[in-house]
Amino acid sequence: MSDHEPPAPQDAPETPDPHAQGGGGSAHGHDHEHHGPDHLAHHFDSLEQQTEANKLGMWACLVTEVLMFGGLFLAYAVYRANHFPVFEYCHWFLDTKLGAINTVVLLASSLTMALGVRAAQLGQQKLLLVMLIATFMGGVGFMGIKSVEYSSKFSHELWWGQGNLYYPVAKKNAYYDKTVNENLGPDQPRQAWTEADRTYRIYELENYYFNYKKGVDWFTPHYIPPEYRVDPKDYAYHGGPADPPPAPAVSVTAPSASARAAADPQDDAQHAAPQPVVGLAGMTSSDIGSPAYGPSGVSTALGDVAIEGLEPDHGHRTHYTWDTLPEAERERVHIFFQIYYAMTGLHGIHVVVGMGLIGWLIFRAAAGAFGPTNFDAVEIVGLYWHLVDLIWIFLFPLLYLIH
Amino acid sequence: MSVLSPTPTPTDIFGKPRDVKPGDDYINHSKGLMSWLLTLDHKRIGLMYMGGVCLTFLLGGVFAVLLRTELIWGGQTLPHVFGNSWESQYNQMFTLHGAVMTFLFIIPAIPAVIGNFALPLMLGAKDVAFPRLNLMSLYCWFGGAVFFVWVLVSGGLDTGWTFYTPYSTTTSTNVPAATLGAFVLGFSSILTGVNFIASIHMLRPRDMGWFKMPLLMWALYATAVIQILATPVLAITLLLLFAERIMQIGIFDPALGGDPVLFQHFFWFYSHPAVYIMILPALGVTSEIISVFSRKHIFGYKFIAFSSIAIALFGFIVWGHHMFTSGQSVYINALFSLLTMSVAIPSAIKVFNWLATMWRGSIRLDTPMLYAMGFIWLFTIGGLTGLFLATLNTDIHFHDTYFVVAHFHYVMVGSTLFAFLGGMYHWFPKMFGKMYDERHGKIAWTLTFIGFNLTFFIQFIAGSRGMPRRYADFLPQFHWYHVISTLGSYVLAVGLFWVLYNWIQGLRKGPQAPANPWGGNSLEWHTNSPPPHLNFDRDPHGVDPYRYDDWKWDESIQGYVIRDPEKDDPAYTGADGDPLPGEPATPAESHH
Amino acid sequence: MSTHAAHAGPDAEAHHAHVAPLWVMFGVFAALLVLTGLTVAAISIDLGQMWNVILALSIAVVKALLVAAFFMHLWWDKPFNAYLLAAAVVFVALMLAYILVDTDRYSDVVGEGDGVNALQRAAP
Repeated sequence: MSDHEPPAPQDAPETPDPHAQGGGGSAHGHDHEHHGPDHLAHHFDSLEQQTEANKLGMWACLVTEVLMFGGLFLAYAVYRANHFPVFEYCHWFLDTKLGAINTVVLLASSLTMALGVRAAQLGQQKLLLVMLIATFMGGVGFMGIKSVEYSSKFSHELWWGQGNLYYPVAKKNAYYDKTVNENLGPDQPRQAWTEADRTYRIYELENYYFNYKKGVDWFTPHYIPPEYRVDPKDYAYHGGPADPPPAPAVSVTAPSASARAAADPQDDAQHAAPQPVVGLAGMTSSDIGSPAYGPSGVSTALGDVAIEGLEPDHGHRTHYTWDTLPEAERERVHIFFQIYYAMTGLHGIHVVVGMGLIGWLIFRAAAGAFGPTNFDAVEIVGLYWHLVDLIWIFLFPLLYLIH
Repeated sequence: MSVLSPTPTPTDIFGKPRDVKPGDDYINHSKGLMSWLLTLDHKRIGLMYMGGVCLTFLLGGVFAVLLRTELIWGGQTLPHVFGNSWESQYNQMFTLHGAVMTFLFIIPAIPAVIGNFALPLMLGAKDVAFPRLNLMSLYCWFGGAVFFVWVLVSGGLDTGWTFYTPYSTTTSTNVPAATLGAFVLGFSSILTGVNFIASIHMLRPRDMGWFKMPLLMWALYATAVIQILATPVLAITLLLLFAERIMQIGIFDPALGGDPVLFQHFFWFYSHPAVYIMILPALGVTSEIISVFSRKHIFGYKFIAFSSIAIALFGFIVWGHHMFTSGQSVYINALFSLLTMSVAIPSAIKVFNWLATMWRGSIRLDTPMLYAMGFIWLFTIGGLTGLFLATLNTDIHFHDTYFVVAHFHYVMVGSTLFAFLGGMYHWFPKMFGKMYDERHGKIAWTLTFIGFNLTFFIQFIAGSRGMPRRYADFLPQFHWYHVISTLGSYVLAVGLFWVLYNWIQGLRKGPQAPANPWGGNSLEWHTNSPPPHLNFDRDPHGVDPYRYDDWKWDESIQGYVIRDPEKDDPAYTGADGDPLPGEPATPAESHH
Repeated sequence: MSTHAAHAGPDAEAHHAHVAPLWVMFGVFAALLVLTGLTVAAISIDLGQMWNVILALSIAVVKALLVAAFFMHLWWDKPFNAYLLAAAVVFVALMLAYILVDTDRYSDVVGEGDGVNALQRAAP
């Protein structure tokens, strides 16, 4: 256009001459007011070049995402390969149904995102808007289900960090000393865990989750229903004194009770019942260490609490319980949850960021900003969203489908 | 020109005009502080990076001089100002020296300053592919720097720059701020890398093939590959360390069932390639300078280009040599030892090709060339001593001694710093449109070169005799080594301040720089000094960047101008006379 | 690029990028759903923990390839973008391979000290 003229002395970054070069030059800028040189940054020659560069840049960013999650997959693989019993044991605590539903939700939102990109390329403004909103809702659904999952884990004291039930007891107590006990008055009882408290809670969780996995309930509720509570008598059968010790004056309270109460205040019925934990406080870790408790290597069912899941013929070749887990691996059980939270948490952060980006696209799309010559933003956010989906495709079998 | 297929002569390398006013230059293109802080111009961003990087270099350098001063006598030398004891004060100083120099200075120095400035110019582009990301990279760098300043004023850091667990999760110093700072700096590095990859792929002129790019582009490309492949692993490492520190998640803590060696694997998977982030751009800068100042086509273009890629790739499979004594298994030790030695191959290819480029060239010993030649010297010493450390049995002896300190200072400081200074001198006229004082430049080079070797060569000997690193005190038999090293560091510091003085004097009083003071032929020498906002008046085509036949020295402007084939002697090749008889004009042809 | 725009709308020549056909999008989605069902079903087949995880990951790889190739347009893109993704996967694999071999070797020292590899221990 202006090849042979001296350039016009203007400060605008777009010059008309880039369009003289490249096949993209004829493709735009004729009849749509939103198309044309507006979308072309001054340092690119053509829209094609600009789109290619944007996509290339985004792919380079996606490489960094893959490598970043690669680090977490590495941590996962190292612990899984070297401490498989922990992973085999812990998979009971993750909810395959919710994981599968979330997979489908994310796949569906990936489809709508891909359709959204297509709509932008074809200039179908309304369809684009609908697809972006659907994708956004997919993100909402995913995070919603994720939060249900997380909160049920939290209510069962399967937190990350020191709050995890499986955290080594001495370290857990050091943590409670720092966070809880130092704020207590002089006459208030200290909160501290004993091995016995913790083992009891672990049995209760096992009892519940092992049955849950058998298809008893559809969703993990925030409390353990009464039918899965372990009676102290059963616990005692399991190696403790023949008769449960009389409830002592409460000098030690397992934080589990208060934690559960805090997590689920509306569930009065559950907490109105006397807490069996109190009665166990008299047990000592030496009881746990006695031969009847010890890691016998034999898959023992939990006494006369019938847990079908523990029977060897239910399809799983080996099945670890807290009792049969090798002693050294017990200290590592919490690491599974740390890795689980690190992986799903980082993934969740990515979903939230993606939702933010899609929200921004929705506003732009509602203003009609995208069209056949200007869909790079939609495409790039789409690539990001698909990558988030892609990572979940690996997280799902690795975390939820451990066999 | 077989490798570098048909080359237009310099007179017809330009195509369509760009929207550039006569006399426009990027420094005066627009006025005001905001026009700098919010600029999208890669040249201004490079300049701002330079300011920041030099400040952090000063900070790290102050720590270095303090460290050396502490070690000039046995026992306590400096007053105890911070930390629990004077020894812990020493620990904090070497940690902050290492962390600031590594994360804030060396990693961004050449890519973010010289790369940012020169890459679009060398490609004939108007800017990098993503100017906004480029600016964001700068602010990520500033953000990371703020975190480190926070570390400085809030209890320091005494883990060593490597943050090894479990000490880093138990020390009372401010590890979380440092990890977050390094995390943010990682973003800065990644964004630069993404930009460079996209720019090199998409913004070359149509007739600039891959093998017509200046070698600095190859080096920056290889660097960018490392930046996007390795840096995210550092990011996740630091996030896990942060979580470990805040919540004691125990993945790396043996007391909680974790695996501390795993942390070292995580860390070195990034940090060994990061060593090549530091050195590869330096290799590229050296390739440019050596050829220009030898007035001779670079020897073995393709070998140098591919050796950059090879170093980048080998860099990913050798990290275990940092862990020979860490409890890594013997099988992997042996494998890593072998692979580490393989890095010597592409490194040696480069050195030999530079020497071959210089061979029978008409060498101009200007300041950039002195730095480049100093680079070859230091890089060779650093590289060869690396072989001792790559060998399993000698490494057991040398591990964590001053031998290691001397080795990595030779490759990281000696080489990268010298290439950075050489590159800054080389492109100084282009950046600022002013010439520095050559005499002062040479004096400064002499001081830095002597000071550097004095400081660090003696450390090889001290280390091989058993002086351990990271100790605040030493046995009497090591005293003289430390005295000499400390005195050398003072000479080095004086030399570096002399460099700074030289630059400032150049900026203030230097004569106007010609467009091409050195006779280089890569595209940046075809535009004004300083270049206009859009870099060129007209879109340039690709040229053979190492063909110097078309330039001749013009005494009146103290620079090179394009030879007029009508008037000038066709055999004339520049300032230094005729081509040598029997010498092919472009030795690179032999690798066709 | 624009030469692929066979399924585009009336102004097909105006597009400078490939427009993915609808049937591909929906077909890929259906395949992804089927594979998700398959991978959930696969846990009830007992192949040993090693082969089960290989099976699950193989299905995941197929799903990922479908997403990358069609939803992310790699099938129609310049090949370099696919090389980038492949490079990322290769480098993750590299990291995994080295470190798994190494941790497996030294886990005897830092682990329970019984000299038994965890994989062997988990085997029947």
